[in-house]
Amino acid sequence: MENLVLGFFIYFALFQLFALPLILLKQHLTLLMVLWLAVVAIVLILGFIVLYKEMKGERRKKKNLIKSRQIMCYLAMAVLVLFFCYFTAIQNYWGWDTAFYIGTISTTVDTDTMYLINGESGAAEKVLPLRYALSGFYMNSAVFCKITGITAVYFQKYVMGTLCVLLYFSILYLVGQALFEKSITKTAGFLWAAGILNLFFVSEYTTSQFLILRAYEAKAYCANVIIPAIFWLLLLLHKDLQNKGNWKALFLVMLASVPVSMSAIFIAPAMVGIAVLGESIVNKNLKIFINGMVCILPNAVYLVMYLLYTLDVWVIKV
Amino acid sequence: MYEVNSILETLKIYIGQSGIGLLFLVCLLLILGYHVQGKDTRSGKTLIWVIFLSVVVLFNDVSMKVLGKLTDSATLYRFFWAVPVILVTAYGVVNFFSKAKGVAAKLVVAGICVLMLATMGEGYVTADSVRYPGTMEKIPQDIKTICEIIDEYKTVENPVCAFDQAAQLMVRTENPSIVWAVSRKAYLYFQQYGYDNGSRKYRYSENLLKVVDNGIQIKKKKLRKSLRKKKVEFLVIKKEYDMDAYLKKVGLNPVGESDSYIVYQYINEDKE
Repeated sequence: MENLVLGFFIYFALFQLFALPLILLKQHLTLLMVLWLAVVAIVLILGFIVLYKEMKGERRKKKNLIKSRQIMCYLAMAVLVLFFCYFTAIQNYWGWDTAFYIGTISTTVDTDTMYLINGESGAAEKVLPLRYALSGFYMNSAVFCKITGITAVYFQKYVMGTLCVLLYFSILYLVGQALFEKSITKTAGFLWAAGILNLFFVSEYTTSQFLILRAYEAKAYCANVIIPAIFWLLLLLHKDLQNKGNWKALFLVMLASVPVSMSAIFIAPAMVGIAVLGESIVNKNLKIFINGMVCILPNAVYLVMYLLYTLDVWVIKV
Repeated sequence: MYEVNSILETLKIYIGQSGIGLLFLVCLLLILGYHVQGKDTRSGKTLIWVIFLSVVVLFNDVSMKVLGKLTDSATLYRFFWAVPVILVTAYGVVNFFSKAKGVAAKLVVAGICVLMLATMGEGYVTADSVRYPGTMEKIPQDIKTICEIIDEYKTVENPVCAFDQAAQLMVRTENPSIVWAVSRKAYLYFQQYGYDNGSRKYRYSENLLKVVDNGIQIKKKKLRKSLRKKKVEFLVIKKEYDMDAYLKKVGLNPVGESDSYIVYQYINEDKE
C-alpha cells in the first residue's frame, strides 16, 4: 500500500519535471504527450525488468494463513471503498470551478496549447496564469485525454475522481495501521468510522465535501490525499525520528505536493513546519527542525515563483 | 467565499451546524488526556506544542489578514484542511470503543456516537444524491443540443456566446471552441450587488445578463451596443422567457432550439 501511495507522488514529481518547463516555454501539449509517453515506456520497461529479477530470485516463502476474521475485515474495507467510488462517481456537482478545471483540460486538448487560452471562458490569456500553470495536474489529464480520445468530463469525473477516493482510503489504511499497531480489525473500524463521518460532515468547503462532490479537482487531492499523506508520514516520524526512509518519503510528498495541487503551496509547508518545530522543541533536537525545513524546500521554491508572479515581477506574456 | 473577518467565524462556518465539531473536540481532549497522563507523555507534549504553534502561527486573526494578502482571502478555509477532524474523530471513536470493557460499555460508546451522528443532519446520502444523472457525462441533452446548434451556424472558429448561469457552466466542457460573453467575475459581481448600481466596468455584461439570465427586455439600442462591444454571435435564451418578438426587433434570429432553450444568432454588420 505504501508503494501505491508513494508511487502516485513519484509519478507527479516526475511528470512535473517535463510539464513545467514546457508550460513556461509555451510549448504544445503534443510535445509533452510524446515526451511523457517515452518516459512512461522507459519506466515500465525498467519496472518489469526489476520485477522479473525479484520474482526470479525469490525463495518460496511459508504462506501465513490469513484468519477468517481478517478476511472479513478486508472485505468490509473493500465494501466501504467500493461504495465511496460509486457514490462519488454518481454525484453531479457543477460549479464555476468545475467549468474552469474541466474547461481547461478540454481547451488544452482542443487547441493543443497549455494555459494560453483561459479554460473557463475560452478567451486568449494576456499573461501565463501561473496561479494555475505551476501545477501539472490538469495537463496530466489533458495528456491522457489526448492519447485515449476520452473527453475531459469522463476522464476527470470518473477516472481522477475514483483515483482520489482510492488514494484517500489507502492513506487512511496506512494511518490506521500506524495508529493501531497493525491491527486489521481496528484499522477496518477506523476506515468505517472515517467513511461514516465523511458522509455526515456537511458544511461549506470541507475535506468531505471535496471528497464526495468534487473528488476530480486538484483541491480535493490536496484535502484528501496530500494532507492525509503528510499526516501519515509525520505520524511515522513521530514514532521514529531517526528513520531516514520516512524523511525521504516526506520530502518526496512535499516535492510532488504543488505539482498535484497549487492549494498545497501554503498548507503543506505550514503543516510540516509546525509539526517539526513541535517535535524539535519536545525532543530538544534542532536536527529535526532542519530536516523538516529541507523537506519544505520544494514548496519554498514554488512559493517564491508564485509571489513573484502575484507581485507582477515575473510575468510571462502570451 | 466565507466573507468573514475573524478566524472564529471562519471556523464556525467550516464546522457548520453538525455535531462533528463537538465530537472532534471531545475525542481530541480525551486523546490528549490519555497521552499526557499515561506512559506516552512525549506524544502528549508534542500534541500540545503542535496545537499551540498552530494557533500562534496560523489560526489567528493576524495570520489570517497576512495570508489573505498573500493568497486569495476567499480561500483561507483551506487552512482548516490541515486540522485532521475526520482522522482524530475516527481514531477517538475506535479507540474508546475498543477500550470499553464489556458489551454494555461498548453499547454506551456506540450509542453516544449514534446520538452525535443524529445531530449532523441527513448527510450527503439522500434520495436525490443516489439518483443517476441523465447522461454518462452528466451534461444534459439540452446543453449538447445547444452546442450542436452553435457549431452548425457559427461564422467564426470561436463564437462568443451569452447564456444563463446553468448553461454557461457546462457548455465549454462540451464544446471548448465556445467563448463566454460574460465572465465569472461579472456574474458573481451582479449576484452580490444586484443590477443598476452604476457599474461601468461590467455595463455591457450587465445588459447581456439582464436578458439571458433574467429574461428582462432592456432597451433594444442598449442590447445591440452590448452585443457589438462584446462581439457576441449567439444568445441562448430560455423558452419560458418568451422573447422571440423582442429579440427579432433587436436583430437576432432563432437558428435552433433544445428542450429548454432557443439559440439566437446575431450577425454584426458593423465594420469595426
